[in-house]
Amino acid sequence: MTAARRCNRCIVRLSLAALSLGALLRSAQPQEADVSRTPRLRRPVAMVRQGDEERLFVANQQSGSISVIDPGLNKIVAEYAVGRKLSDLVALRDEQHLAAADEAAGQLILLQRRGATLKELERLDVPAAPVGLELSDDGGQLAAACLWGRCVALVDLVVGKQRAGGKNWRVAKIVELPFAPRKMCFIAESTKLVVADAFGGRLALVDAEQGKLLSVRDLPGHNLRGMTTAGGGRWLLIAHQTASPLARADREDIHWGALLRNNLRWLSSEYVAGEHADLLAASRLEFLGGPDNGAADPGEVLALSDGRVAVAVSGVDALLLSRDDAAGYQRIDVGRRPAALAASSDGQRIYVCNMLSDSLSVVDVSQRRAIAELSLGPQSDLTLAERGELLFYDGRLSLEGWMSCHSCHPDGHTNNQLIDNLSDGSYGDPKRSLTLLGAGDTRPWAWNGGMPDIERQLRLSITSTMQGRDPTDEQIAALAAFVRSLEPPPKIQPPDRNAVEAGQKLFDELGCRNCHPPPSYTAPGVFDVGLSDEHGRHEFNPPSLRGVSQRDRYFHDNRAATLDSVFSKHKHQLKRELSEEQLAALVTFLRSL
Amino acid sequence: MLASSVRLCAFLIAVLCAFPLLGGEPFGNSQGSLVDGELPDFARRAFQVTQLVLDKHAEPPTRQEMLLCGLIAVHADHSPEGLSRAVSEVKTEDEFVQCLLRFWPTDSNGAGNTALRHDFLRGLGLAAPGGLEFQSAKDIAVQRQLDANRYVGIGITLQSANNAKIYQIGMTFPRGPAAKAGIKAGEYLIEVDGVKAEELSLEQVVDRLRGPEGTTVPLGVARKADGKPRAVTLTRSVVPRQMVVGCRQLEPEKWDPVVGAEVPVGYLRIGEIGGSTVAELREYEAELHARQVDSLILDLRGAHGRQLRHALALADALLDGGGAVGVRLRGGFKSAPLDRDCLFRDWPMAVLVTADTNGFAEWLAGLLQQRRGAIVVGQQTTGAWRFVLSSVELPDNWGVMTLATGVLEHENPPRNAAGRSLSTTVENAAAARRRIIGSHLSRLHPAVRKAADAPYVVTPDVHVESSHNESFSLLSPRQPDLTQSPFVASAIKALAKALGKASSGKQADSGKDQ
Repeated sequence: MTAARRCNRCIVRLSLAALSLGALLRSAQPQEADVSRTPRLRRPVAMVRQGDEERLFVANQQSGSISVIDPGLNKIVAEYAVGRKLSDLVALRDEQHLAAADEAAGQLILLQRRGATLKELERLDVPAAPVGLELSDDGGQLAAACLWGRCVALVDLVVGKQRAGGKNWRVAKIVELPFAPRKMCFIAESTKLVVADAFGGRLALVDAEQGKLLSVRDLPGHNLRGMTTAGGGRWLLIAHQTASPLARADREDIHWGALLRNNLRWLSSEYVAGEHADLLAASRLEFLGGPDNGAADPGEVLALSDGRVAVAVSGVDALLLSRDDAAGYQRIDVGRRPAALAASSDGQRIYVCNMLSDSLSVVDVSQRRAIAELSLGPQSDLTLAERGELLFYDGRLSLEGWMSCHSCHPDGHTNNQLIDNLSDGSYGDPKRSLTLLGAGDTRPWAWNGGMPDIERQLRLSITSTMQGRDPTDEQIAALAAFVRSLEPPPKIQPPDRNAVEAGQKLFDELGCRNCHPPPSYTAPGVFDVGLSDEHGRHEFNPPSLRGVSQRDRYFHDNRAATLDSVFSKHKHQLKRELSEEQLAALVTFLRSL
Repeated sequence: MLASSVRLCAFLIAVLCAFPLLGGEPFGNSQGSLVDGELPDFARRAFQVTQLVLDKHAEPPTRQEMLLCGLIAVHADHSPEGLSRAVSEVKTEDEFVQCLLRFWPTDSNGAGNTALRHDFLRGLGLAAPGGLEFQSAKDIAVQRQLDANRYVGIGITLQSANNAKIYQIGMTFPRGPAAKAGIKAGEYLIEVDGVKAEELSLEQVVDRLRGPEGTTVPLGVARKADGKPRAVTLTRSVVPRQMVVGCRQLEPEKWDPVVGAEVPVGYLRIGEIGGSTVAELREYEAELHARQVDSLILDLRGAHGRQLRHALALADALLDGGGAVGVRLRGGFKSAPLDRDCLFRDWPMAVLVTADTNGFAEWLAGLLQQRRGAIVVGQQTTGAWRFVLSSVELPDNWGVMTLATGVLEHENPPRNAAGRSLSTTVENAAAARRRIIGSHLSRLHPAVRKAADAPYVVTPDVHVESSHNESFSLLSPRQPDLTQSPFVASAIKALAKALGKASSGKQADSGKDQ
């Protein structure tokens, strides 16, 4: 069979899979479709090593597939179509099963592995957008972080010892959170689960046995994108960024790391688990990168068995590996946007999934360099928006690689931090980064509504806020296409229809729609709503209310922490006092947008 | 007056030794439009300046206090009769203008008039705790680069004899473009950007030399003032300078950071609390660590800084968390949390101060003593200068005014062992402030005392009374050998004592543990 014919067959099979996905996936047949030669974008996001034969299993976000790699042979063994948009992957302790999270389907997928072959066993519905998975030490509990569901699903696993009805797993508890979660880590012998904010800087502590939220604490930082334990569980390592509202977005402050820093934080697991009054007690903070040498967007963290630590620095396409005999880290170049790490069984190699180059880098620990880069398969041509996506996550657009667009707008959303830039025309009045999700059609942009087209705003963000070189028109067009492609986040709760209707009536009565008219729930003008910044400016462009329930801070200076307090405490544009029921109805309506 | 105060040496990097505002020349060189024009127009501008002070200052004086200090200043040694009473009745803008016109010296004219207006603004500024500084927006941008240690230029200082328009290179910065191109101190600048230097004022020369990073400037340079110039084209770039040095200069920009014969001790002198201070300390930490040094003398005696965020970053870097530090602003206390990064973690530390250590350095010394258990060696500070400065734009493009919009504070004021507040008397602090101000004006009006009501002084753990002359200017061509300093000797002794205690304590602890 020629390669072309084989390829055609794959495409036909893929089409069939798309048409009858559910039926196909419930069939519990081996995932026989090897799609490793299909030209497309894969976007690897997660990786596990499993089996004595040192196989790597890589979950691909965009293609929804899992690639099986033999790193010894430097070869893709197979690639299986598994889901729609995979976000994470864990290997179960029995070495024979994998669990994947399908963000788009809102499901977890249990897969049986035999050698390099995979077979789907079972699917489990979880709340919206599962983006992170974490397995307890004994393998009996699987936690799924549901981004837009703003919760963690705790799943009991009985793989191999099936319950009545043939189920391998079930959702035992849903733990609601006051933020959108992503990274998680079990600590204290898996009795506690630490859950990190996907955008801002909150950390939740969950009693894993009781399925109960114990506490929510603020970590100084945002973009908590890497989390693991080290030192035999003594340390909880978190890779994240910090932003200072005292600094300005200018060349001087960016160069010295005063505006935005990239960090690896070492928290004491004991104090975190024990809910010590000071979350940072006995902790350490290490800066990654430095002047002339920024380390934008630190992500996945890997603690090696010999005590060394590796951090994927996703904004500058590098792996930082701690030095043998001195403080600090050595930078090793890898592919674009390293997103997942795994160590070889002997600890001599680190495998790095490069999300935006669809490849796997193999780093030799003793040589401290990448010795190979393996393509996960042929890529399709990039659309304009896909070219924009590459730029959005590229820290090299900024001065010295300190930040990318993603640093302040994680995955297009907001990091909830105040930044003092020139978006409002002057320094001295830091304002919250605005979400870009669904912002493509909410002209004009910036808090003062001073940007009539998004292209100008993007150019200003790069040349002024990020102090990068002036981008080309093609780059701006690509970034604009990417931003326009970002959908508003989904609402977080099924609307109570009566309350929604009552709230909508109030919304109209109170004149909210004057500034927030549907369908975009924003207006092109600027309005004085009784707020002012440090320069005394009191006219602002109203942010869109679409997906407002997925925001964690409100108003230009973050003065309101909840949607309720926008009205109950800050009396935002209320012509009259609202009863508790009315307030609840109004908020319910807003949450339905 | 401005010209005479510049006298012999004007730095191209004009304010490398960023004085506390009251200690230095309170004007930039570009406030022309503020003092230009007819006297009534100037009076109205002065009124608007007082309004901005009332609106923005952390501890604003009254408008009458500002007017009185301004008018006292223009009359130097004698106050006109009835001045205080007349000023006390001023309420409206028109009354302000009328009062100024009434008491303005009648024999002033032309250039003298401009000098008087400078004196008026200087006097007016002295009424405001922390003083006022007037600069052009351009100068502020340069100041900001200097504070951040990201000055962009060619890396020289210039000196000229009194308005002679002969420009000699005072010094070159080792990492600057001029030094890299082989230009040496003592040479003369004959041509700048295609124009003969003798046709340009110092300010014009400086304007032509400055420009954005990456741009070029052609120069003609000669060994003698009347020599034939050689052509050099320089690319402007960041000219880094050292904000932290060691105890002994080994070569330009290379310092030995170790003192102590028997037990090596780290010694670091912070000249400026600026953008690069923390990064430089971090590099020294690595060097000291490699040399197996694990105790430190931090010399803050001559340290100064202008930007709050630099001071907070330094405090953050030297303290291992421990809650917030903050600033009192008009709207209340604003705190900044300290994170858990910590330079010289667990090292015994001695901090050097003198009675003149003020501002951020004094505040930091207090924090290190209180929170890190650092041994403060030297003299009691005065708490007389603890302002947080901000720049606000003056109306109608008159430039920028820098004023105290906040006051450095601790959330919990430090207290001495007896539990008393460490506040000094207003009189003592006022005396200290007069020393800092160095101006006859300060004794003329009680308004200056307002600034001196400072509850935060640092009392040394080890007192050193010394007349030893130790220069703190990092621009000084001859740097002292601080290994001979009585301050350093006392600090080494104190650290040795502390180390002895610590090691015996550790032994006792380890004995208990095992």
